[in-house]
Amino acid sequence: MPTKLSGLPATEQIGRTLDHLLGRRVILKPAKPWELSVPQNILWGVYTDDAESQQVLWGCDLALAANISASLCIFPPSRVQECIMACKLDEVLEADFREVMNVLSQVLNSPGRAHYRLQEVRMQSGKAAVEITQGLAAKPNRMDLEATVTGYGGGRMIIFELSKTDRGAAQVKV
Amino acid sequence: MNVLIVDDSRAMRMIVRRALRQAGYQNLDVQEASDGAEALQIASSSSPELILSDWNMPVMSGLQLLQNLKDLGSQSKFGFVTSESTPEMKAKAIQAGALFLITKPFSAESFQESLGALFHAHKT
Repeated sequence: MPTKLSGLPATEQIGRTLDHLLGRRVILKPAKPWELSVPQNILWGVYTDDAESQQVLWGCDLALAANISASLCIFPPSRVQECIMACKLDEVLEADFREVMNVLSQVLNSPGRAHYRLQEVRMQSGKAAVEITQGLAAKPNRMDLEATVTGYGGGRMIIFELSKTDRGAAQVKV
Repeated sequence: MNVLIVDDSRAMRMIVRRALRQAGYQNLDVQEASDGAEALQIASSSSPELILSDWNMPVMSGLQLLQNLKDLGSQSKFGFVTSESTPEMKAKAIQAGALFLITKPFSAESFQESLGALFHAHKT
């Protein structure tokens, strides 16, 4: 019997949650499908349901992750540029990004559906893991968005949900 | 008022402080702990009047912290500030002695709603 997935959150719901958390407006717009086969730096929030049979992968490009994290504690936007130059978040911004992804888990959850928790946040430097490209090849329900954090900058995000069947027996390793 | 903020996220501790300030609660003596065990140590020595704690934390969860405080006879008022708030969690929290559960992301208003009576009682 196919696993019942929980469905992806509404864009407005994501926007509202980020607005509240960051204390500033975050503008989200639908975007063209993000080409993930190109080598790039992405931070992935990996969410797993209670039965460990389903996962949601929530990716933000490095620029967006840095802008979101910097705005959380009102660090100067120059800190974002430093991270982009270094091709990674610094330790403080990485911890802040994890907290943002943790709070965002609530938009994945609604009564009577799969219940997700943030399992981990991982950095992809370069090519996407095979499991990601394989998972996407199964054509899961996905959302591609462009996000702008007012007063800072923006970037891209993608959210998709995979059942065990989509990703094979192994957990997705990013 | 002496307040202890417990959260493993440094950013979240800062945001809770900011929300308290924005809610109009000034002149607080605020201490911080990054997990339940550290909070228990601080609470044992300084007896905060209010503890605002995350639920999921390494070493000792917020619920374990609350249960330990009750076992020690602590009189501190206790509330959760957490990213998840299911009816089951709420029931567990209240049963263990928590006064309220604020869900992240929160606003200054949600702090006023949960803490208003407490701070009013403290003033009078």
